[in-house]
Amino acid sequence: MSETIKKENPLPNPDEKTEIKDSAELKKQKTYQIFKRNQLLNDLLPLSGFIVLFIIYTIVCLANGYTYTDYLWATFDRGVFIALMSIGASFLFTLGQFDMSLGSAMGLSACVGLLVYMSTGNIALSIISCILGAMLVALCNILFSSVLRVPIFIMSIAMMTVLQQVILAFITTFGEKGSSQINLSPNPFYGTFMQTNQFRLMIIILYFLFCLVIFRFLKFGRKAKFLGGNPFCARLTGISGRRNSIIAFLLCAIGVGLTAICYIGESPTVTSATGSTYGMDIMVAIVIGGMPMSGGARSKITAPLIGSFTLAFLEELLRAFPATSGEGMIQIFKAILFIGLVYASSRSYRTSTLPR
Amino acid sequence: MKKVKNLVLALASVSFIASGLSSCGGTSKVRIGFINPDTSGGETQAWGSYVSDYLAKAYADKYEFIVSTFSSFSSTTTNHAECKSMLAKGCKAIVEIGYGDETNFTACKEKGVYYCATGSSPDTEKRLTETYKSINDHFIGALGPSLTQEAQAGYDMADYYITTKKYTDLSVYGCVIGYAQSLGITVHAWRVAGMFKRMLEDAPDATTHYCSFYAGKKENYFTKNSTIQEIETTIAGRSNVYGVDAKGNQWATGDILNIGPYKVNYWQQNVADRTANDAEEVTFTTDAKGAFNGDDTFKSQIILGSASAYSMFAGKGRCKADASGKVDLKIAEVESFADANLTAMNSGYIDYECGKMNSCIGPAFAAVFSALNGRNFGVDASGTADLLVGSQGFWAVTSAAEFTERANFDKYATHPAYSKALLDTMTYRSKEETASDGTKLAANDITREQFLTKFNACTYEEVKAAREAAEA
Repeated sequence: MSETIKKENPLPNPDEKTEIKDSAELKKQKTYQIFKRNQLLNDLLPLSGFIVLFIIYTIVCLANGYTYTDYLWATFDRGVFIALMSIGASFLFTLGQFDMSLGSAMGLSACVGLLVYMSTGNIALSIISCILGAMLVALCNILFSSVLRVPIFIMSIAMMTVLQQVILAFITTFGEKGSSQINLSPNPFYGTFMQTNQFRLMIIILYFLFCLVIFRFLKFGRKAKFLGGNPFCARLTGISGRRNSIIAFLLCAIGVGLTAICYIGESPTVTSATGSTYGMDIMVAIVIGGMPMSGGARSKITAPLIGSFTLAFLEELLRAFPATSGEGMIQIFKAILFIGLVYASSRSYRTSTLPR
Repeated sequence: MKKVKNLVLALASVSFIASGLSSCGGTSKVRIGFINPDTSGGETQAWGSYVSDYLAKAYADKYEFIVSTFSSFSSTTTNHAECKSMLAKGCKAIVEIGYGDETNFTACKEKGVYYCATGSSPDTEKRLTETYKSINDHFIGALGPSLTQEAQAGYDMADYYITTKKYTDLSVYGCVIGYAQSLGITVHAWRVAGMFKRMLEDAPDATTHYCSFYAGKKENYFTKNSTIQEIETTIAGRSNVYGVDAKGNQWATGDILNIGPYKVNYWQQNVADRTANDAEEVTFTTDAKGAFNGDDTFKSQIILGSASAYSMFAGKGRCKADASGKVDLKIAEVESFADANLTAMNSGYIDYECGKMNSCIGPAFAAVFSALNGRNFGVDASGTADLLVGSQGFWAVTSAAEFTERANFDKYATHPAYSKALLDTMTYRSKEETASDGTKLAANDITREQFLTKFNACTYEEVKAAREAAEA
């Protein structure tokens, strides 16, 4: 409208000019209101979705006479591995990166942890080696990516297969001859705190708080958001992309290592396929939790936690009904949710307003 | 307009919740969980259908079955997560496909829930002591074919073509051996080991090295006297039958192995690389030569498959029906008595079908019902844990008529081989009970040994006679 007026009358009188200015201001305000509304919706959607799912879950549980506490723990266990890995992976997401090999890295860490336990019988050493194993894999990822100048995401896809072969090599070399798995039976962690749900709960709370402090209150968190939002400007201000990537990968590796500890505590069996299906679900969980696809300033450390348990509750609910319990149906539900939320979150970026 | 839209959305949400709740009322029936970690195969789908469609209806008055639907090949859901969920849902017993999972059977023990593994069972010599160190009085048994019987299935298949058909040029398809082993599944390697064992038996002497390959300077080989377990260990350790020869050449499909007096072309699919598969399938089904030990005189007479070879090769190379409907290179496979395989046999692709009964998991449920009725076959007379291990062999057919006869006999969703009447004869009952149709069921004081005898009588003729007697 204003452009039409400009073309017809290049020099409008002062009154008309004020009118046009008011109209532009109104449009701007309206755009801002829409942006704020979409932003609020985008912020609240994951949490409200989680709450609604939880209410339905509770009703279904009580209506069927399930043991509520046990059912809650079972659902917690369904989501805890994804949650632990995705909390760490949210640092990578904030930087605008992602590592698809996290699941296989977890498998390798668990394998290392079990092998160390087999040779030493020391649980503490086994735990430490799980974390160190994950960190080593993360450093290899960064190193190969830097040397070969390949984006980390692409590198991580190749690493998935490499890590599976490394696990297989470990099993063949150090495991029982002819066996395709490392299987400690009877479970040496049986009856220890490491095998309990409470242990897994404690680990996830401590790791989340650790990441929360780094994300919200330390310089690294702010730098990561800046790098994810505008890497060019961030570098101009002297922030090192590579150094911060290394820190993010190492923080993520801690989560992977902790997952490996929880995994072997529950089931001390590792094959080359261990963890290989987790990569995609970690990404879906982070996005469903409300993390923007591009990372940057609007990244949230709470997103992976909400997303992982939303997925867990959703899956438990879908599996409760015969019509929706099929594997294909569950994957379709996840995909619809993923696409829907990506669309909803993208609506809040389709404005000229910068993120704030 | 906006308010109306919101109202419609709210109503839709409420109706969704209400309809969800209406379909899931509480129950007074005893819940039994069935963990089926693979919903993609014909055999495992038949097992799932047997429980959800047949057992659920046949025992509707007494039991409610919760059937897992995840696929361990593609899902992040594990059998452990499913087991915990079933325990929280109040299941009093859990039946799981496999050898038995320690995490699950200890979790069941903690909750006072019975557990039974089925579909596969451990080799009584090798695996029993190693795998089941944590057996407990709630772990009833592992009921299925033993690994020895898996090898026997491969042995019998090779024997049929060597002895009856006098074939000498054989193609062997080692279905997903490397990949399945990464998931702890070794049955395919045992079946191939059985095939090789049969071929090696005809070797002229005990000193010749067959299938010789090198790991560094160490030579791995088979001889006439190699045991099935030694052969299986070599296959499993190598991830492919081929390897590096004495000159450092990496053999592959099309390089012909000598195993005893027989010539063998081997193929093992590459799960991660479908393009490589396509090229290798052409080499395999057209007798194209490999790079290092091709043989112009080799012309494959049959494909021996350690699992479904039909789905892999039908329509490729010589394994293709010509204008007259004749298939030049036919298939023998270990799969199931599913309709699709009957069609393939009728159209000339499948020459030999070997498979478990579609309802072969039935006895595991009978053992579980018995435990719930007060007699746990997994403990000895003093109440000490003594795992029930059975050996249930395969059925094999070489004609469509035989196939149809067995498939009709074992209709898993409507009238299976292990029907309710037959399962009732294997189920302990301390006192008379009334069936859903009002008929009186007599008390059945079956012992552990009697149960095992009935379970191990697994040939077609034996099961047929048992079912007819039970239903009479």
